[in-house]
Amino acid sequence: MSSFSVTFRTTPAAQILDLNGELDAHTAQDLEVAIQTSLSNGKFALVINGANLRYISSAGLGVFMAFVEEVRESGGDIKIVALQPQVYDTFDLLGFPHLFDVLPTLEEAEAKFMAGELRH
Amino acid sequence: MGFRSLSLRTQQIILGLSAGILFACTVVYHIHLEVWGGWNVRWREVLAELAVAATFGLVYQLLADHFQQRKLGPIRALWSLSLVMLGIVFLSGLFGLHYEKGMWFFTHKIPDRTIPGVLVICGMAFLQGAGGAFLLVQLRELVLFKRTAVTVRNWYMLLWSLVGTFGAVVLEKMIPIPYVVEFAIVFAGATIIINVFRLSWVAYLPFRQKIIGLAVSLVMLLVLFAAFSEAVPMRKWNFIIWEADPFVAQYSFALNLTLTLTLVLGILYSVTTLLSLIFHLPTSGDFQRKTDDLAAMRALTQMVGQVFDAQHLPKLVLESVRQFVGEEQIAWLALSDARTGTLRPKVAAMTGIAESQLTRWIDLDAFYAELQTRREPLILNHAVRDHRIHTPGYEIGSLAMMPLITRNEVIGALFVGKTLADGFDEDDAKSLGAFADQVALAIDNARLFEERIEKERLGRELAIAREVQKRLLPDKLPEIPGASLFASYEFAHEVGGDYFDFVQADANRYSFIIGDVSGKGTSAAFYMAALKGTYHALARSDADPRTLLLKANEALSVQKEKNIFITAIAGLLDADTETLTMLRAGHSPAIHIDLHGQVRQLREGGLGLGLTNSKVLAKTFIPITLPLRPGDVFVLYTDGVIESRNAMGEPYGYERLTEALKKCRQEDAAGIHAALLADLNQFTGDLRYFDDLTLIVLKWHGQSVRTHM
Repeated sequence: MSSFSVTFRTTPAAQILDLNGELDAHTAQDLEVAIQTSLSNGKFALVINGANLRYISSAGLGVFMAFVEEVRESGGDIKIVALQPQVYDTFDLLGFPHLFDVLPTLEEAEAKFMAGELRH
Repeated sequence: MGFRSLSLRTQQIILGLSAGILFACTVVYHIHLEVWGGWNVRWREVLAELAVAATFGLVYQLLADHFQQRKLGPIRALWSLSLVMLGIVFLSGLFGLHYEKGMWFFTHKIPDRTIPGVLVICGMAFLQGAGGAFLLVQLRELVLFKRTAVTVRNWYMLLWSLVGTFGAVVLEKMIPIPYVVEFAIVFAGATIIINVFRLSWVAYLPFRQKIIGLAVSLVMLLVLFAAFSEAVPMRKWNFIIWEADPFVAQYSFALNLTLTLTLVLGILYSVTTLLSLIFHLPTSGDFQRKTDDLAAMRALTQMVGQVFDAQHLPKLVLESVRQFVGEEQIAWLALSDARTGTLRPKVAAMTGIAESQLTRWIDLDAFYAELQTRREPLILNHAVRDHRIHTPGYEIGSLAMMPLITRNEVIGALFVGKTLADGFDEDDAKSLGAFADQVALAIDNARLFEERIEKERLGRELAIAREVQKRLLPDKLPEIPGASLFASYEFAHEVGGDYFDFVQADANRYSFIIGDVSGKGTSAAFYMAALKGTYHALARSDADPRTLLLKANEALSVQKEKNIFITAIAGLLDADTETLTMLRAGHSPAIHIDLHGQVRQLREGGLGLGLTNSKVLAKTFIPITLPLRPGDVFVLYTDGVIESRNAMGEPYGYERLTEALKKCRQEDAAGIHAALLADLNQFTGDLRYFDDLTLIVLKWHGQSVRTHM
């Protein structure tokens, strides 16, 4: 049915998770595992790259909530970047920009991490 | 029925007595013949020969029955055979010697016409005949060690060919048919040759037993050869016991010939046994291992049928591997996560090595990747030279890797390591491969089983959740003067957790709420219940949407799983002031359409409930208050509506909803509701809803319809 995948990239500034496809109740677990893996590797500066994310449901949004507290307590942050308009709309309706650093580009997120600005 | 239904003891007594009587008859016959010159009648001679055949046939049966009861096992059978034959050879030699030389109690050289002489001849003949029967009985146990239809048939062919030879000799006495005896001998020889290669018991012996067997069969060969030289009436062959006389030939020539053939059988069997033992000696270790492999395999196959516990299975598998390969080896089992599937396998169990060593010494990911594409066992016989292995010393000399494949999918890998290089040969690879297949099957079974249990559990949970959800929804909606209202709720087959409610707050004010829990099953139902509890506690006293939602947020934050939240819209309709106040908390925005078809998405609002504390939440809230004008329609819905998809996977979407709404806005709430659902169903076709779907339509008709005027 819905296809979803996560690929990892590590840059000097952050661990980047490139999301592909549709993130819903079925695929939310894949993202959970991916974030968990990053955390257990000691990577807390996470950038969620939504450039190729076509759709997100509320269960998908829940994944970010599940980890954000732990990440911030460890001195890191989850920054969400490059969302497509309709996905951004879902984020926006739920009020996620109040809770997360939702940025237009990957570079901005990296620059913020480089500048040591973890909490937005 | 009949003889075989008698008790064994009775059978033995009857058999023994019959043999004794028959033998006595032959003795009488011989005494008569030798001492008094006998009856020179051909049929009496034939009768006597038949009595001889019957006697030893019965003796054979007696012994066969006896050893059927207590089997000796191959080595002990050989051993007892050697001893018994040695005794017979010794006695024959002793009597023969003295009988010839007249040195013991016989005074004449050849006392052919004395009763004692005849008795000695008959006695020795009986001893040797019984010895022959004993030989056959013991060989039977060895030849038929592995019983198959063919081996049993061959054995009976041998017995009947011996009987046939006996018969041929007797027949020739009556009617001289040329070459009948020779033919019988050739036939018997052929059956003997066939039977002497039945040596399946040899391979199963452990090394020590083989050495003992070697010695015993050598002794037996010598003993039988001695017996043979006694039996054959050719002096120059008698090199072990000189001058021994073939008693049996004097007693019965037919028996003598049969016995000679039996001895040939015994000697040839000793020879093949000897050779086979010698050749199998070096392979005993291998054979033992093969048997152990088989045992381990069988144990594993049993496990497949019994262990449905995916947690314990890896440990059990490694236990089997240890039996399989030996104690001092290392082994580990890596399995991919059944739920996430494609991600790299994790070490599920290990033996002889710690996980920290494993990850430090070995580039596991590289091997997983290779096995993933190779899909065949991989044997590294010089592990130290492989670039993916970095042990500090020589901990791993050789490493065998077997991918675990079920249903065409690599679900993990089994690794077996030895400290020695070249530790795995072709054979090991094959049996480990077969072993891995069994392991894969076992794991797959266990996983399927767990999956099914999980599914059943979820199914039950879902049924309970639905029941709870149904009870949480309002039975009937309040009658609002000046307004029409229609609401519906569709249960999805998987995800759920929608909630809506209407309560009359006081004389003129009506409170409502719509919510969607981001979760499924019982936990969603639980949060729904919490929301309903908060809502009903407050709606009648303080119906302010802001207060309602903040209190609900507080109630939720107490018992919250981190990834679960609720989106909601709370509202208050004041029929007196003709206003509608709404507050959106993360929920899909309500749609407002006026009499003229002007559509507006009511996006103002704040965060979903349960995402943050009430202080932060309160800052994000933007309540809106709208004056109500006749013809105003408000549509409230959960994301199940706009996310419903058609067969092509396209979502229904906000645009389609507003288009449909424009067309039907003139109708009352029930009519609009029906038209919207019809449009949605037309779009999705036969597809069932994936998410719960709630749709509420509220239409303001105006206070002009008020009845008090």
